[in-house]
Amino acid sequence: MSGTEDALRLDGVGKQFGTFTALHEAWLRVRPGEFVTLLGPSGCGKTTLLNLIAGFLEADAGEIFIGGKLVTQTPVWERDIGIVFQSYALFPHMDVARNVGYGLRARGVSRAEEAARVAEALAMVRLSSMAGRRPRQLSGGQQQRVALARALVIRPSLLLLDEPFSALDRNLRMEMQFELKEIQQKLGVTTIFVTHDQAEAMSMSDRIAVMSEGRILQLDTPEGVYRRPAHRFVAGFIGDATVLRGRLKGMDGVSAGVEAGGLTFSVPAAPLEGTAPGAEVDVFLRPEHLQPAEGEAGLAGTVVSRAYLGDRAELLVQTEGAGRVMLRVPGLAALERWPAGAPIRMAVGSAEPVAFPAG
Amino acid sequence: MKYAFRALVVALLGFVLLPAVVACVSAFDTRALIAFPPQGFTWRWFHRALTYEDFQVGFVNSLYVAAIASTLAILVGSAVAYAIDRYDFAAKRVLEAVLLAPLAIPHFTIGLGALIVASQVGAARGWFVVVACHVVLVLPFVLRSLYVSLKNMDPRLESAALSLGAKPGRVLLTVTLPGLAPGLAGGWIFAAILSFNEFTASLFVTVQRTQTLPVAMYNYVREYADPSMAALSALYILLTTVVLTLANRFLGLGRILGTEDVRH
Ligand SMILES: Nc1ncnc2c1ncn2[C@@H]1O[C@H](COP(=O)(O)OP(=O)(O)O)[C@@H](O)[C@H]1O
Ligand SMILES: [Mg+2]
Repeated sequence: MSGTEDALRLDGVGKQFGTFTALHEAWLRVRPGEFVTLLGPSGCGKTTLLNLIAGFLEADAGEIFIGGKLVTQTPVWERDIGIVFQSYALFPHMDVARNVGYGLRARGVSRAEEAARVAEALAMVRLSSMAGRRPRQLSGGQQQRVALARALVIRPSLLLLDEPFSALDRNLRMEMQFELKEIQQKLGVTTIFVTHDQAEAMSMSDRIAVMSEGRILQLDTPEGVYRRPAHRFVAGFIGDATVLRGRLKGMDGVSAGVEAGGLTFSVPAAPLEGTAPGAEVDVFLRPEHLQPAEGEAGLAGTVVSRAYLGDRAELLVQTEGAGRVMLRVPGLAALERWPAGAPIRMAVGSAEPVAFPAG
Repeated sequence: MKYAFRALVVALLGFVLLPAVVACVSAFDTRALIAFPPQGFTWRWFHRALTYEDFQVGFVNSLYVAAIASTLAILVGSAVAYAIDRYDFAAKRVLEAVLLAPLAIPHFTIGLGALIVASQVGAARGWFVVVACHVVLVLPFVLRSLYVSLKNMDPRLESAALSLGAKPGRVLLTVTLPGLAPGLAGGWIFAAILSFNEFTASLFVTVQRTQTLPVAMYNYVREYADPSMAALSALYILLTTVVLTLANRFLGLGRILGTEDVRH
């Protein structure tokens, strides 16, 4: 296998359940060592895609390559993958060490080597002292670290994780995210991570594949999907956007001018390709796209509610005639000046929003 | 309210346990007929029950029949339960219905039917028909027990094992079967107890040589009315209680009967 080969390649992979298309032709190329997240709402086909890669489901169309090798017809146990499920799926009748060593025994590794590699894997997830415990004697976070060690000890060419942290509470989830990312980078293992949580995807991934209704809508870096969403759905799903109806004023090759709520925004031109000046457009506004304005200028509104987050606060504002928008302000200023019910004026912020033809 | 509820529970318990208590107490009566309340105290009827030859033979027969029938039922039942749980096939509902049917059909019907079929093929006087009849009778209970165990097992366990490089046969032996072990053992014990206690169908399909203990007891009461029957009943209760207590201790009855969710 040469180093330039894709670690994973999907060529038009599709899956139907009866007449229902769970996955439309998916095309994907993942580089060795890359961390790619499949992100989308529940039911959009993430698990289906992961199961196709793992070999638990058979593709109706297309080909799958792992490490440059065609595996479309290869059974699960020969695909050389490691999997972590949300439900941990630890073998309840084996202790932690035997759980972790399972894949090594299946591969006929010698006892001495099994013991050494299990010890190494448990040290990696900081569970060396738990080797003799049964899974049910461990907390959720510990169980998931055992599952991770079990999947990684076989040195798989691909690590697959299906919503691995969704069952954990928030603090533990963040801790586990950091830990997984650190281990993944240390080992350099190519990783496909499934989640419906956009913050989780943003914080961990090299690239994110945003999915909706069985389609990969955009494959891009976290910054790319956040700042240059290629699709209305992506713009709405990533970040907390509110939609403001406006009009296209004009555009050059790179950016376009859009007038909405009495403000003029500069937006990327690409999503508005082919839209005539004067046509209605939807501007996707996130809290950082607006800022408070002084004096009588800008868009006027009334604070509906205030979420104080310490260093900053987010205000939900009812505008005069343009619906509701979100606005980010410094935390202290919010406390002093903008309680619920206070009047506020808003101007265009420093970051550029995106707009799509009105839908 | 609280006292009324307690009184109800006590009354119910008494009602359920009364026959057993009466039988056990009568077993020590010194008079040679079953009567209540008892007079005196003797182990005599226990001695007679344990040394009466028909009972001895019947006991051994029952043990054999129970062991063989429940083992066969486990083998058939686990294959069927696995198929019903894991695969989708056209005859699935039919198969399920057929296997659960004995719950709705009276035992004497099954015994009579088995006898008619067996005599058609000239096997009416053999062990085969007795064992076959018991397999049919206990199968629904075995199926239920195994089905519950399978339902309680996370299918992701098998997926994880496969992904770790284990072939399906290895997964079955190292993950699926150990996961089902409590259900298998529990199902086997229930089947054995049911078979050991079965009377109605056995009455039709056994002959003198193949009679099981309940049939031997029935034949005994037709001739004698002394308390050896009560003594035997007491022994029966003792044996079943010991087996159930052990099963509960090591396997957990709630888990076997599916009244308790084992997934946490
Ligand atoms: N075995 C199946 N049979 C029929 N429909 C299925 C099956 N598995 C998944 N689906 C359907 O396919 C869609 C995608 O499911 P899934 O991949 O599990 O979504 P996600 O993991 O993104 O929540 C859902 O609408 C689901 O109901
Ligand atoms: Mg899913």
